[in-house]
Amino acid sequence: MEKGLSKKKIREISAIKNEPEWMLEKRLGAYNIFIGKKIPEWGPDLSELDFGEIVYYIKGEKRKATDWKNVPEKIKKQFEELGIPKAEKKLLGGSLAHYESTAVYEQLKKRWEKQGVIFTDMDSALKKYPEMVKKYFGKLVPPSDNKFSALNTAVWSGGTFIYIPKNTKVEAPLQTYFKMNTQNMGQFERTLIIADEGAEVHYIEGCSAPTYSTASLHAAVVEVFASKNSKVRYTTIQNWSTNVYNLATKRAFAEENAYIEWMDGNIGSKVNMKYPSVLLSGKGAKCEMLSIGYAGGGQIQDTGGKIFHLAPETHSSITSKSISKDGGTANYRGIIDATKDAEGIVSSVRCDGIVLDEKSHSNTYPKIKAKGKKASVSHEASVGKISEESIFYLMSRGFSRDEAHRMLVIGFAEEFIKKLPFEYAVEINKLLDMEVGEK
Amino acid sequence: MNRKEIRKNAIYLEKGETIEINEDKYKGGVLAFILKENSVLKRTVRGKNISETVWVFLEGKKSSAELKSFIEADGKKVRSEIHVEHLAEKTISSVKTRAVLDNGAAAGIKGIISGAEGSSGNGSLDEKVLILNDNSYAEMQPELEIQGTGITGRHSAGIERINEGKVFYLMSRGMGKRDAERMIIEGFLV
Repeated sequence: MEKGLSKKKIREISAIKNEPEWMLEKRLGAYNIFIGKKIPEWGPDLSELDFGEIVYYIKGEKRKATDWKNVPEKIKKQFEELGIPKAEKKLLGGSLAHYESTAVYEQLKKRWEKQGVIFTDMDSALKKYPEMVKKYFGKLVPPSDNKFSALNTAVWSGGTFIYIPKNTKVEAPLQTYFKMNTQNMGQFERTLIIADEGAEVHYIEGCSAPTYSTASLHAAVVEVFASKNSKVRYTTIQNWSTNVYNLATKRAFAEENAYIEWMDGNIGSKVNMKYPSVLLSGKGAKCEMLSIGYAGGGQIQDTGGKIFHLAPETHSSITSKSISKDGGTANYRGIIDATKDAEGIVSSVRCDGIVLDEKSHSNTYPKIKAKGKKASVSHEASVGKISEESIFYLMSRGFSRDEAHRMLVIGFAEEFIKKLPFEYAVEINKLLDMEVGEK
Repeated sequence: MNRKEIRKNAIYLEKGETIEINEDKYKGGVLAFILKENSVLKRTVRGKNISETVWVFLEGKKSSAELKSFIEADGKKVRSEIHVEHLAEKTISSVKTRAVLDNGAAAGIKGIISGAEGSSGNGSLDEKVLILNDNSYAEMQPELEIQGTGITGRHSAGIERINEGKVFYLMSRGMGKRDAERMIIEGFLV
């Protein structure tokens, strides 16, 4: 397969997809920006990234499934312990190209169509709803934002497009799990979520089970537009194999009285850099971010949240929990920024990290900026080992030290886990239990 | 100035030694302290328009440091940057910074507590800024860098406003508005 990127390659991609001229122009413009930008040096070491060695696009039919033999043992073992059904194992292992949709999904699809809900992949959306895509694509995350959003804009493929009409409430969560196939589980997914006034939706993407990817660089871009009075809950969980650099740019725009809830679970990857951000631009807009990260041996979870209070009476809350083990490093990087017009805002950040052994690291680098006499912002963090007192208490109740330890780690993550749909919660619980219990 | 240069000019606290520093009308400076076993550093500074960079290296077992900075910024840029490194067992640190900003003052408050591998103890950082007028601006960076299970690091940072309810309460007790606000500010700088 052809490695490396060039304008010629981009034209090929656009031609294969049969895209409108304006999208090709966007791609080419973004490519120029990508070339011109430096790799960021303020975070984890990205110097091993070799852009010339990456395959940027694999055409559908040519996409060969990985031989099941080549899927790493550790991942196969985790599939066993998690009790993942055979077909799913193959999909997650990359050895199955398309997941057969179930009857449940077909029923849900009918309901959504009746409601006027659009839930499809980005490539199809560009064909069916070009005007809508054009209106929103790149408005929140322009290619100039950073090197990886420029790259994504140049070579994006796959991803999700969601539109919820005015005052429509979608009860069952929209899950990409139903529609997973290797085409969509791409390296450069582009996702657009548009909730019209008064709409309500919960979108879940990703997978808590270990997901094997031969691609070493993933750079997704997600843009969420929450109109007046709408509610959007966005849950994303990644557990990429530990050869992956996952460098995503995710941003949401909240208008008056909109409510955005962002749930972010980071379990895999070699280096994961993700700082979901929210612009609270309308009066009364609110957001809540809940994230959990696990950094095992050889992993760096560099995550956080950025909230910009641009209007009065906006509220934000960030809760970030991280666990580091076996020499892993968990970093929190966040910004809370309030402009002078942000009167009566309330913001609170709580970021906690547990370090499970001597070689592991946990660091927090928050920034709080505010102007004017009406802002009120608070931030708290606590990093260290699991409290001896808590362990002692559980041991005095008959649990072994090991059991006590595992319970406390799961308890630490509880705030996040209890908000997940049942099957995800069960899986994450098991996963954490396995990872923490492993000697 | 980097870490190596800072250490060259550091003040040493020898084994068992205690140093207490109290400065009113403090203007600022660049200082470093290296603490040996069982030594104690207590430093409290107060001033307007301060610009300080302080490094504390807790190198000796059971050494501890308590640092307090109280800043009243009036229309100028103020800066407080405090680094505490826990490099030994059973070390304790507590850093408290309070700044009141008025008349377009701008404050950059940075505090870093780091715990190296093999160290143990507690480190805590408490930064608060009170903004009195719309042209004033604050930027705070409370950081923690912890390796291993020995150190527990905590920090809290906040940007506050004068609580109108408290002002009203004091005024209802006969105080003038200015005096009420002054009292609240003084209570903040403690």
